[in-house]
Amino acid sequence: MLSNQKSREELGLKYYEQMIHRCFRCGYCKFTGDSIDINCPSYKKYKFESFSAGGRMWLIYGLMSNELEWSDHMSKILYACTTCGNCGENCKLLTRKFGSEFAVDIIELARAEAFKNGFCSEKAINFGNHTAKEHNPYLEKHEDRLSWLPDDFKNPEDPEIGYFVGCTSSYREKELARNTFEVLKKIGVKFAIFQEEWCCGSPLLRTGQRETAIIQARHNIDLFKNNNIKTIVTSCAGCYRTIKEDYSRIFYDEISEDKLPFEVLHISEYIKRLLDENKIEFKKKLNGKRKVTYHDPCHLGRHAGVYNEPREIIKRIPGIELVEMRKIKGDATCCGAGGGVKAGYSEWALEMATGRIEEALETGAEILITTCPFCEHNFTDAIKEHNHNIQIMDLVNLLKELL
Amino acid sequence: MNKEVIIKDLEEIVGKDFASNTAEDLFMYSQDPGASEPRPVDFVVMPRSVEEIQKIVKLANREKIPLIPMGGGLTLSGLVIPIKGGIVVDLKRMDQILEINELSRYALIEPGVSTGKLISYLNELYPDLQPAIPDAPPSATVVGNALIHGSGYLSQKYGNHGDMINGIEVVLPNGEICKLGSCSISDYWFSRGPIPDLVGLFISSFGTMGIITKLSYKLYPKPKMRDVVFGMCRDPNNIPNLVYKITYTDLAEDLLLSKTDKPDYVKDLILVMVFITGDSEEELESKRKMIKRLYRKNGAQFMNMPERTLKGLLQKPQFAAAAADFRKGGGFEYVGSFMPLEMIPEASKRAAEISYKYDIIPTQAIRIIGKGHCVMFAPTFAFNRADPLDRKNARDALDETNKLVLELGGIPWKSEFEGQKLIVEKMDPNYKNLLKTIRNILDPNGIMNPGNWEVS
Ligand SMILES: Cc1cc2nc3c(=O)[nH]c(=O)nc-3n(C[C@H](O)[C@H](O)[C@@H](O)COP(=O)(O)OP(=O)(O)OC[C@H]3O[C@@H](n4cnc5c(N)ncnc54)[C@H](O)[C@@H]3O)c2cc1C
Ligand code: SF4
Ligand code: SF4
Repeated sequence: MLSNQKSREELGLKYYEQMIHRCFRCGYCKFTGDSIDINCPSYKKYKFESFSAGGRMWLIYGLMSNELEWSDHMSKILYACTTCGNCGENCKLLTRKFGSEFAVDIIELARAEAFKNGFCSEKAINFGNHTAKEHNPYLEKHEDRLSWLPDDFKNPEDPEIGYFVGCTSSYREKELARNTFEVLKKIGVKFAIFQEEWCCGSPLLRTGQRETAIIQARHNIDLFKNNNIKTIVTSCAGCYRTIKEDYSRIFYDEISEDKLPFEVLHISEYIKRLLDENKIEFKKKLNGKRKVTYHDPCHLGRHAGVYNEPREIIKRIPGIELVEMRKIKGDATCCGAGGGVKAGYSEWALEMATGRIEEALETGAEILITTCPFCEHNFTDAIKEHNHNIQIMDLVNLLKELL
Repeated sequence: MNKEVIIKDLEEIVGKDFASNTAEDLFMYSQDPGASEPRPVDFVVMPRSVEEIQKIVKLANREKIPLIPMGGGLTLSGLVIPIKGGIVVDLKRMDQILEINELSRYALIEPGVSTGKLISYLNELYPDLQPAIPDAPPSATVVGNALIHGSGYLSQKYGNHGDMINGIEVVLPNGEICKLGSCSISDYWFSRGPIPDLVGLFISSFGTMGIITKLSYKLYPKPKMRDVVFGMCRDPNNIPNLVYKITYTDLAEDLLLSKTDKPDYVKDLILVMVFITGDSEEELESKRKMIKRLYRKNGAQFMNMPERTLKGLLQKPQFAAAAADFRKGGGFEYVGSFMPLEMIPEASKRAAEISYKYDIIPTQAIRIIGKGHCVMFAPTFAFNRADPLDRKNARDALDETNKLVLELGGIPWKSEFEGQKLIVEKMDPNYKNLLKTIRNILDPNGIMNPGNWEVS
């Protein structure tokens, strides 16, 4: 590690001062592992070196060494990145030493500088300000957060797990919230859902609005601690990455024993665990044989290394054939929604989702399964736009029918 | 020069998104990962078609502004950083593999096709064919590499990568398109002759003769199995004869030598790596035995290497970029030089002395090209990009090594323009005159990458 994790927030970009110039601009970060495809969405779109991860490292170094100044174009370069993590996954030079998260981490810390210097987009600032007040980036009211939850639900006295719903499922993909709720009920676990849950902070961290993000994060950690929650389950890949990875990095020192005071599981990890322990089984079968393919959300896959659990679950569903796309796991194509791109560059986000759907169509699958409501949202928009003949479905939505 | 007019014109030619003169883009293209100091760039443009390139060339003639063709920009020696400002023509958008002729074994490609793309494409669709590629990162272009007399896998067997060019299509400095090689007569891009061979004019000319828009590159059969037989040699004076003996047989697909003084126990040793291939384990085993015998008889010793080392070496490309972190500083450059085999012992000794003078641990790689007709001798100098003195040391070490190579009868390869000046100084005056005459005829306005190969 570069320096004490606890001082990372204070140091900001300076945390990487001693390493950022070590990027050689060799360009492995632009490609898939086998180098056949350009897999950095941003470089693929904009083509100039500046829009690759290596380019960004050099430009950020240029800012740090005062060879460059803040400008609108610099801001565009920093924000036109889905923070998909393909760069860290495929950088051969620095990942070995600094972990695959270094590239996205540097880009996000540079965005924090952009925000401080007045180079964050108005749209992002708006959802940041709204989150400060109403704890969601969707310009909705906090009091409506659990509007989807059946009125008669009450948290148990001694919950085994806490379900962290997240803003996208609470306000935009409510079906996923409802279905996760149903799945947890069918499983028979004692679970709690909190009206006091705030945005996990992901959209803010991704766009450089760290102060507000940290306020949300601290509140959520206190909420779980005060309610004695030992395991948090999320159905959103973005919340999962944020709570598991970012909260740890921001508040806990990885060098000491000091760790997040609760376990964080994505619903796919949780269900896989229960299947392995024979605590649940698929009671029903899907009608007819269905061909499906699986999209790895960046936040679950490259950012957190969860590739196999969703696949293992899918493979155990009776009547389903899993056919893989050409680019999967560490090489998966980004859906295009992350890193503030859906809000900031909506057309491009749609273009990327369309590209991924085309890859799914090549497999002959009828259903494209994902495990992130944000991906699902972007794919759904793209399917609507182009009338693609494929169904998009969150894994949980499929499981609800089978348990 | 009216910059506003030029950027508008460039945008009109390639579209608004693919021409730039923003401070950020110019910052990127004003430097490369090697030790050269940054130099100013005026514009960057990314054409998608031959027609767009023709229009850019016409504009450059009108404005008398330099054009610098760029592939992956990975030579390390500043070859795509303008010497006299101008427009960097980044060719990466022209990245189509246009044809694979399986029977005549060639690939017809656009200039932006990366080595990574070509090799993976063939692995997937033509698993029995392979291209020769360098150990540069996979974003290096096949065309950029072939055009600098690159070398790499298959070089021992088939020569340098410039020799593997069957033909080219080029936009000349006057904007006209010209095809060279069999393609100028036939639909097949299978050979450079039997007509006057003008292709050579475009190799190692560093973009001064035109912009290559298509290139036919030879492909080779790919044996099923590959292995490395490692040897170790204590006396550098044994190397020329050992190489001579190994290349006398047809055993080696490739032959590499390397020397480093760290860790201490490898100091004074030269590692010999003979790459062998075969279609069966029996075939490999018999080759292993023969190589071991050659080692024994010629002053070297067979040695076992850990599986991890072998795996790294069998990768294509090898992860040579690791050298960029030797000084925890994201930079390295090397004097690749072409030299006769007999010069290796002295070159190795004296290049190591230069390294020590600049407080750099000697690291040298030697690749045998074409049966030992030539060797590529590459002392490497890592530096810390964030430390101007360290960078200068690397530059000074490169300069001294260039001089050493010339003194010994070799020629610095893909040399920075300072090194090119040293080469030109030593060049036969009539060669210089011929080069100058050709350039003046082809490029009367001097727009093509001026400052390179300048003959006064
Ligand atoms: C880690 C590392 C390892 C390396 N190992 C090797 C090795 O093993 N063998 C080897 O040969 N090299 C090696 N190299 C050197 C170099 O990277 C390669 O030769 C290759 O990258 C050059 O291709 P490029 O696309 O980067 O060319 P560029 O740097 O873009 O261009 C090279 C030259 O060709 C000109 N040019 C490029 N395209 C055109 C065109 N279409 N028309 C006209 N002129 C053009 C440019 O102006 C320039 O002068 C290595 C480099 C690195 C960084
Ligand atoms: S981020 Fe890594 S792979 Fe990309 S250019 Fe830098 S060192 Fe190379
Ligand atoms: S995070 Fe994704 S989009 Fe951003 S630079 Fe890395 S690979 Fe490119």
